Amino acid sequence: MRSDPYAPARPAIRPRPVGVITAARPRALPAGRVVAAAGLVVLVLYALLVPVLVPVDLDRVDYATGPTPPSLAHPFGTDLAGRDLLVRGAHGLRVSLVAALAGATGAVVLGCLVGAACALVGGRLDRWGMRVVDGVNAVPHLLLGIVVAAALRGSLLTIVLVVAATHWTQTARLVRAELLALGTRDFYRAAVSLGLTRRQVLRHHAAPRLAAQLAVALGLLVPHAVWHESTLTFLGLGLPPHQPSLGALLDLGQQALLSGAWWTLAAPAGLLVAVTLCLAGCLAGRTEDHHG
Amino acid sequence: MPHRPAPFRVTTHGGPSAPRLARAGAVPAAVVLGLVLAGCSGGSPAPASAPASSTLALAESAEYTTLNPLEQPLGITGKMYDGLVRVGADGVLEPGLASAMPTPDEDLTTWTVTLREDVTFSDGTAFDAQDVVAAYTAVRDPAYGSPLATDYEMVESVTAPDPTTVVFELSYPYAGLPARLTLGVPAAEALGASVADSALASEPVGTGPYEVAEWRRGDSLTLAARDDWWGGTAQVTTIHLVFVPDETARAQRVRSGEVDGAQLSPLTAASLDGADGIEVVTNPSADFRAISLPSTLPFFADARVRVALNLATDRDAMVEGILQGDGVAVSTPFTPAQGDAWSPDAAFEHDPDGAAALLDAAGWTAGPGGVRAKDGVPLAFDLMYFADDTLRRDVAQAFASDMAQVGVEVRLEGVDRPQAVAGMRDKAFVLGGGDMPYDPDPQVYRVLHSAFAPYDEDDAYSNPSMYADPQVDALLDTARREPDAAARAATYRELQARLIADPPMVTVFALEHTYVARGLDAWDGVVPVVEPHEHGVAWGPWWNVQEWTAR
Amino acid sequence: MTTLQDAAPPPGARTTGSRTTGSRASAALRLAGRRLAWALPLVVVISLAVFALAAVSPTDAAASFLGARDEFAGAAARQGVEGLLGDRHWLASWWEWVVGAPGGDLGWSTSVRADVGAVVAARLPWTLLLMVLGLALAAVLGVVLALVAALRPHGVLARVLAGGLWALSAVPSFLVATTLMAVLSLGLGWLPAGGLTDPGAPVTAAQVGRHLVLPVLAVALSQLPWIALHLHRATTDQLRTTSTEAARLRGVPERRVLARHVLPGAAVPTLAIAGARLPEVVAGSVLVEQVFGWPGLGQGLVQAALAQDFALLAAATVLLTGVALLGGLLADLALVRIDPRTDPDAL
Repeated sequence: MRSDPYAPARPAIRPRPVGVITAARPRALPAGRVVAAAGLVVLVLYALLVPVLVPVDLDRVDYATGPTPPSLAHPFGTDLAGRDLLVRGAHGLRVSLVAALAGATGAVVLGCLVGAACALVGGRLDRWGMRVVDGVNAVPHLLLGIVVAAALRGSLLTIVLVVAATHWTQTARLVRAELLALGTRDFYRAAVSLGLTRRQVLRHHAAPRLAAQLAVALGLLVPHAVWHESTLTFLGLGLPPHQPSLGALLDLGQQALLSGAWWTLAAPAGLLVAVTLCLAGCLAGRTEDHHG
Repeated sequence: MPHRPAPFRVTTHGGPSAPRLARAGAVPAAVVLGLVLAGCSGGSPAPASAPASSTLALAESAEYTTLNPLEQPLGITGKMYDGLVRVGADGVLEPGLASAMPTPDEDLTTWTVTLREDVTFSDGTAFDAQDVVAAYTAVRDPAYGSPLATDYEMVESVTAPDPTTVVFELSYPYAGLPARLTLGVPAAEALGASVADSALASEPVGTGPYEVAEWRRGDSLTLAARDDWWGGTAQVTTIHLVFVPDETARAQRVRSGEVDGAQLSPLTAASLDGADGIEVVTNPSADFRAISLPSTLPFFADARVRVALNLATDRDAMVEGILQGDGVAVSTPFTPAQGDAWSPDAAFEHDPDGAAALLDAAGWTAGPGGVRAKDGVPLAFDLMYFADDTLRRDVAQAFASDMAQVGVEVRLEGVDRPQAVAGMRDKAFVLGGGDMPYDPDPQVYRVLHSAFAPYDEDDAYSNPSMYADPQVDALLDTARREPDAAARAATYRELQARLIADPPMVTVFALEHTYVARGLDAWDGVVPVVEPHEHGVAWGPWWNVQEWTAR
Repeated sequence: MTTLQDAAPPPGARTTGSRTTGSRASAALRLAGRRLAWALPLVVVISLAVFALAAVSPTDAAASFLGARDEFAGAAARQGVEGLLGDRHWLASWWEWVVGAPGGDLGWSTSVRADVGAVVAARLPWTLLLMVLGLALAAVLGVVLALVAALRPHGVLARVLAGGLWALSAVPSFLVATTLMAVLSLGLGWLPAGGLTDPGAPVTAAQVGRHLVLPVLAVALSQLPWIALHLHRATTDQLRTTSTEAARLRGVPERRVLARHVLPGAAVPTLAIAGARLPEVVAGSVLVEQVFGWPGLGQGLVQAALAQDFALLAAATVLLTGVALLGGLLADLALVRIDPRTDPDAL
């Protein structure tokens, strides 16, 4: 996961000689896990409920009001077009989370398909498949994202495609390793000796194990996908600027910085950091389960 | 992927390209060494000496793609090139390389230009009529690929009966030719075969007041005054143009005194006004913004709907809110910059109630969800804007907001340029205009004439509403053939009255371009000018920097 | 290196046993050869992918060439430009690019009207300078912070550091860059907000150095959490090895224990993690260059993407990937050199 922090460990192209490197992500403080989970629940409720509870017409602009600092009426303040940032932030979080979830799901599905094909078919397909995985991993992911977004820019679908196209490799490797390891496990030998077919073993033994790991992989990808969305939009290659995503709000906020409207940057930046921290915090320590 | 033309050089200071590549790598290496020797990067003292009074440092918002005047007219190339005609104070045209304003024959089809003598190019060669002929031949030649080719369609031939005379033969009478003769004239030998392989893109050879001293790619361009310019050597001898895409960074660099000026959005400019001797300077322009109303959509066939949308648009609120007051509300593509040809009376008042009544009368009544509908067709359409253009985004949002008040649904769509071209047939678009403000004809002809109404993907921005009105066509054609200035202006005013009765689009405002500058009071000769759509620090208070004299 | 012998080899480490120095050198050469042989087809595939994407994208070469003038060009001019740019199959364009690339001919950039090779040659060194200094600063800060935290592993400082670094790891680098600019440049006015030098100033070490501080700091801060947190774990282990305990028992002062036993041991994981983080450093510098207007290849890449200038985009993507691969190789070779347990054939 080249371009950012929230990714699972190093791929296996170059196994590191020193063990400590293999678990290449910082750990959350164990006590923080509960706090992170609670924070995530609050954030999701905020994104889901605020737009419903505070019925504000998002398309209504009022440049005369301009940016107003946080107040009781507008806890996050308002932006240059006089729109409430509490509501816009919630919409932005929604858009970003939807993009991230869809992208991460796409990546996991694609990874499953490739990984399973490599492991089950084996031989030449396996060798070439793993070479493709190494190749995709070797390119910094942001670069791949920029190239894809340059060609097909400006929509939610593009962001989803970018995330899926650049992040399926970890899952592919995970699924392949898991399936290959199956052959060496006692329960597999026992099951086969009991006369079960390979398909039955896969369905009853491998699938549940895999499903749990895939859920973790998905969870780890989501904050990363949020990062991708905000970065590409910030660079002008992501979502159109009238659509409130976290990246678009950050971009707007940066423009308003000089005129003193710090809150237009603080609100989306705070949300972005909070959501990535909470997501990563919930899953902290889980990476080593399937890496290294 | 374009075919790759012959290679040419990137930087502009002498020498062939191969050694220069080596040098490009050597500079950072030397810097690294210097850093190591210095021991620490952070502690190095700022060596920035106060700039001499004759040096100007300005922050430009984007690096120049090309310095070829046949690609990039006026603006930055105006510093290195002169046209036969030039833009003077307040946007009045005056002779440049011509010794007097061009003179037409009676029916406006033959224009004769007498040239200044003793003019030399920056490479030392002499300027004569052949250079003019070569420039105007190349700009019209499809093989040369100039983006300005369309602007010279009326020119049939350009000839030089003698070294100081050029004759333009036109295929139809055209009163607006002097504005088109502002094209910068490079040395004929330097033109190259096409804009793609012309060395002029990075190595100008012009007759203008400045020449390129150094182009540090991705960072800055430095201009040096020529000591053999026909207009006399400029007192501002050096201009550093630094490329700073980020507006916040640009503003900061002006505030810290690092640069003397920049172009900024009205809001950011206002936040700097008065700080440390910084003043905000605005220039009027013919740079309008409008919402096209494509006639392919069923509801726009009815003029009442188009009038209603115009009435529902709160232009003054947009000027105040988006432009911080630095602009003029206009209701047609004509702006105050058109002088006598502008009709201040041809304007829509903001009247949402009147708009609602008109829509009701036209049969578009309130439907489900507050959106008006007629025969099951909702009054809803898509509005495209350039996603990288914050001003057009703001206009689109404000327009959509105003439309929602009268029950018209506008769905916004941020697009890039190819998407805009593809969508223009049946989507509205936030149009920019005012490319050539020094004559009314280029300002409006292609925007309004029905000859450009059929959708053509090679010409999507001309008449984007696909508007056709015989009366408008007739007035446009009459005006461009009218030799008498007063009669011509009257025709254009009549045209504007017609545009209010049968509006082609919702024109919202003409911008004033906003700049921040310091140190202007040390100079005489700082005067306003009318700016075209294009803006940047080659315009602003610095547009005539070559003529400034120290106080 | 003696301390390392005492440490239990961590899982995943491979030992070389009784190899001689000579065979180690040739093994290192084989490693370099293998990596380079692998990089070559990768470059070909990446460039092919960029050109293929350019072909399927709804781009319009004339629109990209004309830029903002597209809006005013009109039919005749647009057709002229289209004729100029030609209409070639993307595979033909790609083939020309691949064939020309080894000779330094990377094609022609529509967005800057210049040879891609020249654009890249002018920009790449600045990117390398930013990345190398950023990574070096991150490594130095990382070692210092890790040592401070490791000395009092359960102290308040260590906890605050760990928490702070972990939070910092969640902040995207463009936000780090923007915040640095807002505080140190806009707020306090200590440092220039961007650019390579003051306007018109010559490119001197002093000038570039002053303008480098913020970008380098931004790159370093976005990598710091990763390096510091890993080193923290490594040094914590190192402090408890039998040799360090023995040194302490002999009455060697704690400072000396650190300098003689712990720091050399930290060099290996620092180098390893720095090598592993290179792709992130490349991506981070793209964003940092964008914010600070640093005239590097990363900014060129984003501008090429925005202008849909695919020749420059392909070159920039390939080169930045190459930087990441080459940096990783150098880190590995250095590891082979300083850590006798590293097996070049397994890398």
